[in-house]
Amino acid sequence: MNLDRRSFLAGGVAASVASQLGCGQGSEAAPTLGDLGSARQDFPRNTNGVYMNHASQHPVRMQTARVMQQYADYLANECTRAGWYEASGEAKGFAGAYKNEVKELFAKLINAKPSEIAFCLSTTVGENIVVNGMGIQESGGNVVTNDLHYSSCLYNYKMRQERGLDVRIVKHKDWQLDPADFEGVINGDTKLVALTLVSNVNGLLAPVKEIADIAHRNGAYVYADIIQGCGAVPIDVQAMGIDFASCSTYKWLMGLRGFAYLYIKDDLQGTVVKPTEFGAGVGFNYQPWVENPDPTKGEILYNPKQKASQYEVGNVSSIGAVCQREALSFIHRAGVDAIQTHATPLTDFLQEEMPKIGYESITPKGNRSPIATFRVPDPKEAERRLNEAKIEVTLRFGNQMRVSVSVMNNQEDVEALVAALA
Amino acid sequence: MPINRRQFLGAAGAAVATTASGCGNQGDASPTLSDVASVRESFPRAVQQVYLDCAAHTPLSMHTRQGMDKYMDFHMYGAGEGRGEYAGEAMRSVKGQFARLIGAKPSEIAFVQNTKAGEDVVVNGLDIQASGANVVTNDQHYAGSIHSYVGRKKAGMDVRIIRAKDWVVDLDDMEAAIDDKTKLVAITLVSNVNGHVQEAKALADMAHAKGAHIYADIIQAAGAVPVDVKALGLDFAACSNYKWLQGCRGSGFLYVREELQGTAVRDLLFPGYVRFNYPPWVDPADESNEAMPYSPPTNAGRYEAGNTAREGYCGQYESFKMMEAIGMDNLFAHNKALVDRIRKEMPESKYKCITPEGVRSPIIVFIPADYEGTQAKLKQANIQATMTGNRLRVSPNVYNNQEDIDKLLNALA
Repeated sequence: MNLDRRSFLAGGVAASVASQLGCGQGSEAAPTLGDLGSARQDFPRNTNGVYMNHASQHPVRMQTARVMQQYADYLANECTRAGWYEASGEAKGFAGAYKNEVKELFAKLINAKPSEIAFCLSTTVGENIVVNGMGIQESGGNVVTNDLHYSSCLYNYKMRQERGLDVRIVKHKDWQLDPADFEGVINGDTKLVALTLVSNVNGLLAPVKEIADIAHRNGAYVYADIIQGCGAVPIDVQAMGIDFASCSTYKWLMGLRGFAYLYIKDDLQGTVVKPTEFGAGVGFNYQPWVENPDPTKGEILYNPKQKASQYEVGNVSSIGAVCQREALSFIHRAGVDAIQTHATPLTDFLQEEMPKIGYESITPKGNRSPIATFRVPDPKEAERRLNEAKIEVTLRFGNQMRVSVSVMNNQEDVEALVAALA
Repeated sequence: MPINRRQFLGAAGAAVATTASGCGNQGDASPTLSDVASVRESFPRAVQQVYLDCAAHTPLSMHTRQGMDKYMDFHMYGAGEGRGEYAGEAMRSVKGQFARLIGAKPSEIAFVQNTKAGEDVVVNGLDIQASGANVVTNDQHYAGSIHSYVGRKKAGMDVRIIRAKDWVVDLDDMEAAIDDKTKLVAITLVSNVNGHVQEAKALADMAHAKGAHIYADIIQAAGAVPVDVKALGLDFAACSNYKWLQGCRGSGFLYVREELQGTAVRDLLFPGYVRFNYPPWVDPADESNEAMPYSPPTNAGRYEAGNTAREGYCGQYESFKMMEAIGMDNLFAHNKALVDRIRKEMPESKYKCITPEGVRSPIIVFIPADYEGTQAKLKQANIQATMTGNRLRVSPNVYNNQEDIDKLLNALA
């Protein structure tokens, strides 16, 4: 029975990946796995045990690591500035760290415009730019969130609550979010509804559209922490009704820490979300700065940045940017749909098999994220067995095991987990 | 009167720096340059061309690169074979290394993305505008910071930008602008425009006398000149790593004096996490505790939020190790010798020096009589320095030697 399902699922994966990659010959044709089929070999992490902890950190592909080395070569050997010297070959692109291209690639991934994307340090910095920029407390407004929002964000709101902000934390029911529970909590004074699109706790794909509708009906805006979703599940900020979103790149975007994106919907920039920091530089138009000041201009020339860039301050991690260019290109080539279609049968398998060996699931059935979480009957024993089998997953909250699978995993990996714990 | 005070303070500053570095005869003894000379090979770019542009960007050294590579190996292969331990050790050590460099405590250091982000943590945290207070700065502060203050001024903040006279900020002008409502004096310790070292101690005293605090942008100072935040009286300071710290963009440090953490500078980023103490998170709940317990960080880490660029800090760990091995005094002395020679030997008629005499920074700036001609000569001789506005900025560092300076002087003769 297992074997049958496995061969069925394997066929299904091949077919859907093939169709994503434009090889539409159907299930009879020899499977053409393209990028995803060979993806496993791109990750040297696979030579070091079974890794199913991508929700914690996604290992980088060796191609991405190679790009970092090329960039480091550039920094050591060729780094040029101001267009004074002709950069050669790859260095030409490295001079700007491909930042414009990276914004385009990311924007495309969530169906936004590049002008709606700012770089920032981390997911939480992105959320703070929104929360601080909205002046919620000063306006007497409230924030509605829920207890499946990322624990660091909840800490943020608890601290703000201590300082007088009206914060309302809706509790999940049986590890799911019921939009009806947000009705009434979200009211006319609500300025922001903050949630996590894919829960880092149990992988729940939040009913964001339904909650966004309630928010918008009340004149509130929606922020989504998309770090566990972006690159793993299809995201369309417009269709989902997301006004602001943020994510770092070291999870499903297969990049590095310290480099993150913030999405701010076009018409909310500068109005609903005021910049609290002011990037860019001034020019001086008086002596001795300039010999002959231009009388038609002011003495200090101030050109604030436009669009989402107005939320950026100072230099970002250029290494993070060049690595993202490589990783995002891979994700686009593979296709997020195909990545999701690759992961879903693996988590489905775990959802089916883990309860049989006493690991009750706290992830809803049919949830199409690559994260599944189980209650562990004997955490100490489980940890011992995982170490012995060289399997890495997350064990936390006393008795929870979070398994998160990516393109580098396959059926053998999830079977190895079940076998180790059985 | 201003001249006298300046001279006095200048001497005091030098004395403080010498004491802080624990090297009592720095002024007279000739530095031992053997270590410094051997370090040059570790900077491929400095060997390939005459690179006199550290004030713009450090060329990456091979040892710094090695730290980054090691982190990437960890990120690519996972822990094992010492990879996890290396990353852990680097991340734990690097704040302490920076703290040592500027005479602070590790608990006074936060990771920040860049210099500006650090300054904004301070400015936003001081809540200046809401309290009707003002900021005093000057036009030798970094143009990016001035931009920020102009933006804030437009948004209603009382901002006072004092103009330098002949490229030097007059302390009396600053003193006149600082009043009881001043909450912050913001300066750049070493000017990126002309390399001038501001009289931070005098400005700190003025600020403190009025109950204000002082912030210094130290990106052109940390790793370039002796910095002792306590002796200088600095309350806040920030810098990125990609200049004199010989590191990368996207990683930097913020110093917030201990007593001001959580008091003068309120939190705006809130790094931390909550725990859940109710079913089904835990069953049964711990009745003696709250439903969502949390404990805020009690050091400068409270001004960080989220994950930082770890490969940058692993590289930085190696940069610091190298700088400590050379000895900061040796490094400063090496750079000073190079800059002093440039000042002495640049043809005065063609290059007007706008860096005041007697400064101790490795940045020296000239206004060339023939801007385009200078640019062409440098390009032809494969020399990189900064040319912006009407100025030529030369900034040697540890990898440069007297031959580099020969080449510069010959090219521009």
